[in-house]
Amino acid sequence: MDISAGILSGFQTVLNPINFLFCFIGVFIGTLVGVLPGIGPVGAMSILLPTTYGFSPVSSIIMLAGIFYGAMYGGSTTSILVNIPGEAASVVTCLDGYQMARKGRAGPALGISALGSFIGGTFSVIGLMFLVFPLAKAALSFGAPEYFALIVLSMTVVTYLASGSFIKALIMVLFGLILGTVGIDSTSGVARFTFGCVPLLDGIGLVPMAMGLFGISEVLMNLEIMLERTIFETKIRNLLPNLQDWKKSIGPIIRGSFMGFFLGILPGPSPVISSFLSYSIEKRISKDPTSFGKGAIEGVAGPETANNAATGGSFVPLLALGIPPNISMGILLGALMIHNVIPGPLLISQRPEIFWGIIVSMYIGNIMLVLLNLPLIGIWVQVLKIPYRLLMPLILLCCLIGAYSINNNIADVIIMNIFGVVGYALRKFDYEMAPLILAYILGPMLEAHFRTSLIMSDGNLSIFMERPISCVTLVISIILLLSTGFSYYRKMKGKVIT
Amino acid sequence: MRTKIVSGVLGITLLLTLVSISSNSSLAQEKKYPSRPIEIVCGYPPGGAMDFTMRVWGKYLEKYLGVPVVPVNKPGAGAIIGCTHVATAEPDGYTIGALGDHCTINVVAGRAKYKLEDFRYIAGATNVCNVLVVPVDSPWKTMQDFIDYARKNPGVKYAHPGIGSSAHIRAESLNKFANLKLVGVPLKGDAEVVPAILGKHVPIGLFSSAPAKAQLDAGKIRALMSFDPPGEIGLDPKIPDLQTVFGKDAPDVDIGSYLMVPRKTPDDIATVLERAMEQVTKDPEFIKEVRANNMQVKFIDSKTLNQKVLPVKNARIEAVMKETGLAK
Repeated sequence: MDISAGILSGFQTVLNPINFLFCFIGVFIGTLVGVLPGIGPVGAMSILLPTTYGFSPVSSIIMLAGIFYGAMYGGSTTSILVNIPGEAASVVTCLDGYQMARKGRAGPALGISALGSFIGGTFSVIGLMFLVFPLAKAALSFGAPEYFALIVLSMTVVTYLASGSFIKALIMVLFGLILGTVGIDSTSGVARFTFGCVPLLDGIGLVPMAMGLFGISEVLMNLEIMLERTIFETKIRNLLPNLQDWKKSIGPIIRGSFMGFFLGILPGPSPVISSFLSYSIEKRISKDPTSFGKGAIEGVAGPETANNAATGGSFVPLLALGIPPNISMGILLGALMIHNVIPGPLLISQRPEIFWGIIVSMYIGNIMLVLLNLPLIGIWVQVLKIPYRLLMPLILLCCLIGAYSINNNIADVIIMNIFGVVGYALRKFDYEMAPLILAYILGPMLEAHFRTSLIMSDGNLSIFMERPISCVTLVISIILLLSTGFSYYRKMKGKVIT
Repeated sequence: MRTKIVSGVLGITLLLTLVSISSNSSLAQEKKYPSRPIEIVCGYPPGGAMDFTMRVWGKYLEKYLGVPVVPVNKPGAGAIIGCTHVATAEPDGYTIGALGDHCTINVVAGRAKYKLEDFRYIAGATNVCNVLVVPVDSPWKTMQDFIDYARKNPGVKYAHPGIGSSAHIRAESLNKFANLKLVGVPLKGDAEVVPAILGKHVPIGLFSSAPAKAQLDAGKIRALMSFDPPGEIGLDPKIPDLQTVFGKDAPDVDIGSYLMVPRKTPDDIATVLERAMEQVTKDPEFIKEVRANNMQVKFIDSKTLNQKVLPVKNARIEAVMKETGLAK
């Protein structure tokens, strides 16, 4: 079936009232779980999976997919308004989004976030539609050495996430790497740093840790500040981004779309990783990097676009090869299995209505989301007027329930609380959390791919240089590191002379 | 006025207490098992073969037990969390587990807080199946080609879904008894094994049968051998199976799923569950659904399971784990 016929059949599928309704329910619930800190798309998809039994496979996937990419829209809301991420992919939005809100620019922040998400999401669906098979084939040429090289490249920009002291950022990176080693090591089967504690066998858990470091710690910090609401009570001037905002954001949005889409194809928690990387890269190439961390709209536009673009990219391996690149796609795979559809390379020819139905539903879903989110900005901004003594306990409650909902395990709640206290202490001493989180995610991946590569090569380190993709990527990383080091050295030298 | 209210409240409280006591006792004595929803537990997150197993068992058990059977995922720690949950549940038959050999693996690895004696194995019902695959343009055209090559060139790499996973144990069991001298490349789940083979990063690997079928149909891989009889699981019957290649007595650690309950569950409840499971495995709709997901239906009653199958299998698992250095 060629593309135009496919799109037509896709529209036919999605405009069927049940599928349309499911699409709406999915994106609505997705936005909701994105907004609520704690419970995220994975939790909501798992809980709603059984409700899809009686319906057709297309309807089920349309709804579950809607939850996935819908959450990327909603997550930024609480990040911007109260500095508490709705879910892990919106952590970076806290950095500049909240600062924009403090300057009375919550509306434009929310606006550029929604519009950037729309552009990123739509771009990735279009990319998915046209390039799904060539991209999947290209993705197959990535093996353990290539993934290792790519993560080395990502690690070179990890310190850009911090606005303050470079040394403190490095310490947080090290701390993140150490925390990432907790759990059963995937290459040897040995349990590390678990102290005999069963819940730690899987590692600490990104979501409880991020909720604790950002969410609970924020609540704790607010406990001691009698925040004068004068800052937020200045009249919210505009609700939408103005022309200047657009001029600054268009570059990050375009870059974020491409980066998010391509990163989404690769395995791992790609919406989270792409949002972090987008922020780092925007800061690196910005003409005014010092504005980041103080309310630069590029720091909101780029990451929010990237995390949505990554959702589209995640579908590439699933629809083309039947391989889920992250947990949310794994749940979609499970939903298909329950309906006795095994995705694989033949999905497009054997079940075209599923393939095209999903793609068109994502396009329509993105439209629904931007129509849902833009008018709500006016309402969300009113949330800022709720007294903190009511808002903070509510957020705390959401985080506690959300942490439990991840795995129905109280251990996650305990972990979140511990990291809440740790995060509070670290923030009092001006350590920043974002480098810690990225290092925590990338560290174990770096180690696993490195060791797997060495197993594949019988211990020979030259495997990284023998394979073209990994060789090129590693060389670029080294050049980047050297150039950063060199410019730092020049700055230091300049300081000494004057 | 006040005394009226107090006496009214006391009266209602007394009434409620009496009602609840009497209804409790009637539940315990008169209503038979099962009389309320049952929770079926799996140690893996939604979206995998074990999760599917739990859900399909639950769907059909509901039919034969007459009460809702609600699937609950208790993922984590290689299924330790799920297994522990079942081992420590109330032995009243309302918490049952769709668990498997991973319970044993965790005990042998020394990580589990439970012991195998904490469980009562009710029955075996379905098996997750595996296929040994190579990329379609691999130089090995038959299993014999591969066996010959591997024995002459020790250290051929094979991909598996994770250290200590049932598939890994199964593969190592084959590796040792057939003397293939393979070296395992540990990856994270089927989702990483499939691209490793398709992208030719590892020359041979162990797939679960469902993704294997999808890739076989698309002509991307060649199946050298199926561990389980291929015709029974919806695969091409021409693929040789383990017994064809290595003989009827070839040892295998098949990946069985068992219905398990806490040890102290009374006999009458266990019998009800066993009988229901047997009916489930004979249900043609159930067989069709399991086969559509390329899994094998194989009912094992509790006597055979506890006396013949498990002792042999657990011993074999322990032996393989000791040989590969995974045992504590």
